[in-house]
Amino acid sequence: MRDEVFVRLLDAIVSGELEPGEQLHDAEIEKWAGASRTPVREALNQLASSGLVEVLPQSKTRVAPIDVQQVLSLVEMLHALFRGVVLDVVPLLTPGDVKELRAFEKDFAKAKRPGEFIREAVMRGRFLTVFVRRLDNRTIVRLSTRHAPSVRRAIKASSTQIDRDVVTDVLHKVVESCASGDASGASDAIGRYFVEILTPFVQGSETDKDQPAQQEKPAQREKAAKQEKPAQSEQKGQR
Amino acid sequence: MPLPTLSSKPVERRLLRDVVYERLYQAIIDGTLEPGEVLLDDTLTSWLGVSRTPIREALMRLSEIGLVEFSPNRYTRVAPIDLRAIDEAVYTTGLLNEYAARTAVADLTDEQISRLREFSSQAVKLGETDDVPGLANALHDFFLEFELATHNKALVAAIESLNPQLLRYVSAWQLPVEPRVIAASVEQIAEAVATRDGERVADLIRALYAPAKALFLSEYRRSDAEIDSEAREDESA
Repeated sequence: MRDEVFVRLLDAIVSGELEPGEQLHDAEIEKWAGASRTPVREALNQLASSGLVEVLPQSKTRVAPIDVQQVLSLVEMLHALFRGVVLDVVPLLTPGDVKELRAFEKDFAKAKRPGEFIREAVMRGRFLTVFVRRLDNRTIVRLSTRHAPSVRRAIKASSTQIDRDVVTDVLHKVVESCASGDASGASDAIGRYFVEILTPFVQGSETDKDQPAQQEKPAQREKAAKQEKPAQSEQKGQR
Repeated sequence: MPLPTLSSKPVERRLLRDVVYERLYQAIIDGTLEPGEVLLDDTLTSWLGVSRTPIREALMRLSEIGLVEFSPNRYTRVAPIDLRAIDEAVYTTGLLNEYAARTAVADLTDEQISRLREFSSQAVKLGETDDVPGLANALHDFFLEFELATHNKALVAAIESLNPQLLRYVSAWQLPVEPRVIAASVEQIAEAVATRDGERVADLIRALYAPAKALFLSEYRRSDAEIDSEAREDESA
């Protein structure tokens, strides 16, 4: 029961259905989740230990605001982990894994909205999963699963646009290095995935949406904005 | 002085939760609670003299760092000794240490460098006397300096969450390397740190942890077929 309540609350928080800072009342959650007090409290405490809710004095609970600095430090920790994972796992990748990575690269090339595509990929755990799965170190699986929700929530809430060319280049380097067995090339390229793609996303999750992501130059932003618009498909639909 | 009772109560509760966590943590690390031992709520409430809620909360936190297991049949137990989990924790710690050193070595202060020297000479002494638990602690302190120097709290927290696996089963460690050899590599790392050569330090750390990775690949990692069949099950679930 606790697990069910936990998963339902987790999904609602990560997707933004329950907003950052929103007050949670035990009674409402019990009704919403159809569970009694104890499993609800246990689920909330579990969420609190992963930093997604804050349990305040006098039985008040709220969805934790997105702490950009904290999520950035999580992203860097995962970056550290994945540099090592990729370096070690490249010699172990199967033809099926390489095929899966290539498929991801191709899907991205076809995507009309690059930002939305990466956001979805992060939400569904595509791409990076290939590496941790093949290495089969469960401790690493657990460490990255535990921290994924905070990162996902921030990226989901982010208004950052993304430069298609950067992603294309990074994905291409990852895939080709993996295919040719160049472990250190693949590890460097994964580092770029974290620094040049995921990090700007998280930086753009600042609750104050009037502030554009600082690291983007105006020219890049325009270009990205243009790419984000599904203009082509709309025009086609009208004709 | 009479304190306002309303606001003091929740604080007490929070402290209680931490106290219970600390006591259970220590009891598991030092073996008072044995690997595999079933943990009954009633036994724990009377042992610690607190109610069920802070105990459940503490057990949940302990399960996140792999010290306690909840089974689907509703019992809770101290996680049994799991050599694979220990090896994985060592391997993973190595990856994080390597990154932290690569990132932080260039900017270490003189103070930090002399602390690293201190820890490494401690490690050498402990290595000579084959004091494996002591060596494990010295290693932890030594590498924590790098993590702290990155100023990344998540990295420090990740390392600390792996440490109980390392400490608890120190006696079960299957060291493919002699303690004195480990201590000697730590000393070598400390010397490279003094020249602030991050790349060299990172390479030495990688070499230090290489046996844990080799052991993982030869003993614990499953076959590709097993990995793939589990992935297919997850997908269809």
